[in-house]
Amino acid sequence: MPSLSINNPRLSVIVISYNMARELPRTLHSLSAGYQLGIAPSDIEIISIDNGSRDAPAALPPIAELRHLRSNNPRPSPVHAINEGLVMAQGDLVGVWIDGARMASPGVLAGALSAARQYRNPVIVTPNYQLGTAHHAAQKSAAYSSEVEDALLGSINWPDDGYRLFDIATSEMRSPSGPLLESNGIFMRKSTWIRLGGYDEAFDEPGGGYANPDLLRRAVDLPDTELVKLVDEGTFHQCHGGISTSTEEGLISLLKQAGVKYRHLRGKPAGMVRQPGIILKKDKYLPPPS
Amino acid sequence: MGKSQVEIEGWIQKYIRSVLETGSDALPTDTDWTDLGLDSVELVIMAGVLEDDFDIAVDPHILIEYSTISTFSQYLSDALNQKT
Repeated sequence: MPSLSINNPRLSVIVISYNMARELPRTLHSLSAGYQLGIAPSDIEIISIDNGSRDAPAALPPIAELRHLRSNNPRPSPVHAINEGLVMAQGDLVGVWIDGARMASPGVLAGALSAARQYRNPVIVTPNYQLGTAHHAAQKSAAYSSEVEDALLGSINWPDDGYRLFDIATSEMRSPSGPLLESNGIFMRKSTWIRLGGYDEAFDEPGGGYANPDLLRRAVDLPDTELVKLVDEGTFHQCHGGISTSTEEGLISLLKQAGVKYRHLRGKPAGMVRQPGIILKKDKYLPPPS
Repeated sequence: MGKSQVEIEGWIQKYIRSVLETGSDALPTDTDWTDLGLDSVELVIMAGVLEDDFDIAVDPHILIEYSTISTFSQYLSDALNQKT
């Protein structure tokens, strides 16, 4: 892999993609300084890692803080590619975007940096949403498609006001502040990532199984970390035929298999992180809208 | 191999206490999963682990129909006994 030339960013974001030609450009734009509020290009580096796509984007948005690379050892699971990114990340604060099909709301990075200023070892999470009026796995294929989704995004003039993504999305959780199984956008200090040893590559199944819930659980179980929830932000899943969100039957099968593997690896059942954590609201890190 | 309702209740009690990290106090057996504090995703995961441990297919939708430890344990016990 080529080395990165961006020096001393405050925040690194690692984005993993596989066959996301349509979705990845939007995701990368949503993480860029041109979209994120209160962020300068020099604040961040975006490390986009393609995990062996056959269908990669023909072109990516012109983002100065972006480096798009190809994994040196693509595997069915995204976990190894994430760990490659963690080695390269230069920021003190590092975010992992395990699913490159998820767009960000505009305050995610400012919120993460604010939490990192306030707390010594924060585990900063963002709630997961899915574009559309229902979870993609529950949608009939005829009723929801990439064309329908494109029209939805057009209806809110995305990316003019990224917070309008909430108007066209469905939460994956009962409440943004409630228990959570995982977070697609999770940020920690690089030293915390190192202590955790990154993601566990034993989660080698396509999509990574419960690698992401496992990472979150291990992070909050460290004795000195503090869970911080950016409840006014979100990551928004675009439909793309991914391993966990395509059909209800596929999702159930995946959840079952992943749960069995998790228990085998960890000796206990997988469950939600129930600690309430610290709720960080938007008015604490962004100026009021003019 | 058949299992009694009591054996299955014991299995589910232990499983849910581990998920909820609630210690060793017995959970009420006539309370809905949701009121016990379980999320729907956790019910699907439990269905998979039940399949692995008891070698029987468990459709997660059954956990909606039999929505307490008591009623589901009876259902699964009957299903296992019919299988043997």
